[in-house]
Amino acid sequence: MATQEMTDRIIETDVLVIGGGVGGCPAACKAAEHGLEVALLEKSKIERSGQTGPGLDEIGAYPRDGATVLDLMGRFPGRSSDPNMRYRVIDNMLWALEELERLGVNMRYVDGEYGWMPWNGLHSKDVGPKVQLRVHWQNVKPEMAAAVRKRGVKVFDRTMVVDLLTHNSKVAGATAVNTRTGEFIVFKAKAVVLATGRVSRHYGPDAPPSWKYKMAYNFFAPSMAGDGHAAAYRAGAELTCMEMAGQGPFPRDAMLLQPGQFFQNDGMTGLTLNWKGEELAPHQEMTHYMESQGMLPIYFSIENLPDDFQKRVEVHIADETMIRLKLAEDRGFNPRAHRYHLSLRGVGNGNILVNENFQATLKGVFAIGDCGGAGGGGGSPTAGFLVGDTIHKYVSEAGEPVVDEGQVENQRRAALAPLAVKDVNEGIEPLEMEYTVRSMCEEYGGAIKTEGMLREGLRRLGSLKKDFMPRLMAINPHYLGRCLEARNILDMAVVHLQASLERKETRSRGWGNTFVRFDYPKEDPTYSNKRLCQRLEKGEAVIEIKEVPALKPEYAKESK
Amino acid sequence: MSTAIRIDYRRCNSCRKCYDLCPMDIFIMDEEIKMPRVAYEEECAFCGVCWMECPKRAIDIVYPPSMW
Amino acid sequence: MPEPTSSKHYEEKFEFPLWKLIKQRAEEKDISYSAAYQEVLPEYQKTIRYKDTEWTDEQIRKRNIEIAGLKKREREKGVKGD
Repeated sequence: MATQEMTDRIIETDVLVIGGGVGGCPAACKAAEHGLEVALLEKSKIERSGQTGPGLDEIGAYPRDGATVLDLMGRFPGRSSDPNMRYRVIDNMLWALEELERLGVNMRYVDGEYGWMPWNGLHSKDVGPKVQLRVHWQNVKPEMAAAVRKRGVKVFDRTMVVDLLTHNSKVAGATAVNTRTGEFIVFKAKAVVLATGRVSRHYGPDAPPSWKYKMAYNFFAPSMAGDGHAAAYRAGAELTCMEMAGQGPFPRDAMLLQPGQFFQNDGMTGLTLNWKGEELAPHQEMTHYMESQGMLPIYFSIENLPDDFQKRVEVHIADETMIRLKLAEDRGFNPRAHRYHLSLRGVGNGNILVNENFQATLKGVFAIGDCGGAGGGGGSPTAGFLVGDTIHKYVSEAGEPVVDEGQVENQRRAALAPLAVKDVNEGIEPLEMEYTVRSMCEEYGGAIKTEGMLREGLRRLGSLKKDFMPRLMAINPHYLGRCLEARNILDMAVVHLQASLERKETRSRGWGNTFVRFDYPKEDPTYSNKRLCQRLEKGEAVIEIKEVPALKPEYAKESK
Repeated sequence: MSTAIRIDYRRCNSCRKCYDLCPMDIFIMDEEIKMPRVAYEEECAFCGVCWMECPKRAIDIVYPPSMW
Repeated sequence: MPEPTSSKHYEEKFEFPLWKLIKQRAEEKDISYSAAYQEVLPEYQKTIRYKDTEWTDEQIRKRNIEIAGLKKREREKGVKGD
């Protein structure tokens, strides 16, 4: 069947940005400034979408005040990203700061000046270099969205990616669904930038029969279902470190404060306590957690902060997710006195494998922000600007994208199938599917993994996909969006458990960067400086352990 | 059954901001009263965008037990 | 200090000074909470000692020394750390 007959609309563009968050918007703006045709897909609305929809209080880290790029890389060790890419991102943070101001984003903190704050830990006893930037970013998304629209970017709100289109091992665009109108749209694009954030909905508190309100904004926005990761993976691109897309220590009551307060607070570290009220050194807590279960629960507190710092924390909460002030007060929570249970929540690390130039292993696909291994409120715009600034080089040599009609037909059928399931007795609701996946990851993955459980989990997920997914039902386009998410969540849960099976060791690198195997409780040096890479080849999962690239000599020079 | 997202229709001025901006798309526009209604409450993420953007402060968000 | 696992936490209702100001401004001018916050923020920031770097650095230094001591004691007890 011809493409025109299968689709409600065909959009041709030079660059297709998928995800209109704090990475995607800068990327779209910069690419448009180079005169390229840019289309931006966003499954909610760019004015309030993504991790920073309600706001953000701090970004970083910046190489300044005596701290070099290498200093900062050492602070954030990460196997998942190419160190040369990370170097470039940190090295360009100050440039990106200027670019953000040029877009119209408010970067000033008090009396028209920047809010530079020290980061603890770079220097042990003295006040650390001021490498973190406090921001009043409650309205960062409306500000970025205005810049996007002003630059003539074609914005497709309420439009969710289905899959990528490929031709001759190169990307040719993507298919998408409007989750309000049900329109099926084909995008023909020379280059695709994935900016869809983390994989964070395959774990979650075990749901009772009613799943109401489990979409809590623990730390990562619930919109992060791994849509970009899944689309890239299904198209044959490589993912990496997906064993880290699991759980980590995170405050259970994140809705009543926010996690940044425990370590940051403009340089003042809070308290980490066991249940007897004995103080633990920060970052030692995972060890305590694992080795002496009698110490649990572990609590966080900011009761030690002087009044002045308590006020700063109120401002931080208002800047990031202001609703938390109201909810905490209604609940009777007093951050000046109360202690927050440090429990386990999804931390969603693991990303699309990219090289120094943010290129994924599928030609023409770029990945930035949390889905591309250089994320956070600071890294995402920087990576976005870098890609936006240079993608014209790729586009000029890309040639005309060729849309494979067979792919369009398959993707359309898969995307719209839930609308065709009419028997309500047979049909399965997408939230029920999602929560089934979550309960499987909780039980068979969990925080402390072991081979037998992982294999049983994979068996169950496989049979969930084969026996139950075909009955996924959407009674309207809104639920179609949730069905697409459920498919991505399931696919990424499988990828996560497969990767977990392959990493036969335990390794702790601090906050949110810990992988624990009950059956392999020690660190294994064969995994040092290596990362797990996964891709699909002819429908089969291929996992390889690959060396992390070395830092280029010109970056490794200390004199920089 | 308790609800967490409550719209005060005496205050609502039909500006549609909540419907336009909700990141999880939990509202629909009720064409009869020309005001938004919560249709997908179990998908609410408690991000607070609707609550803080509403020019009439017509939306109240109430802390549910499942978050505790 | 009430025991963390006790219910005494909830006996006194605590009000965030900033949230109180935001609510008042929103009600006075009949504007959104977001708009009220933008108005109230510069006034609230005036009550915070951002510019007093000597005092601020001293607080941070004291705390960092406490943590360094704590880490040392833990390492001596054999606790692994990052």
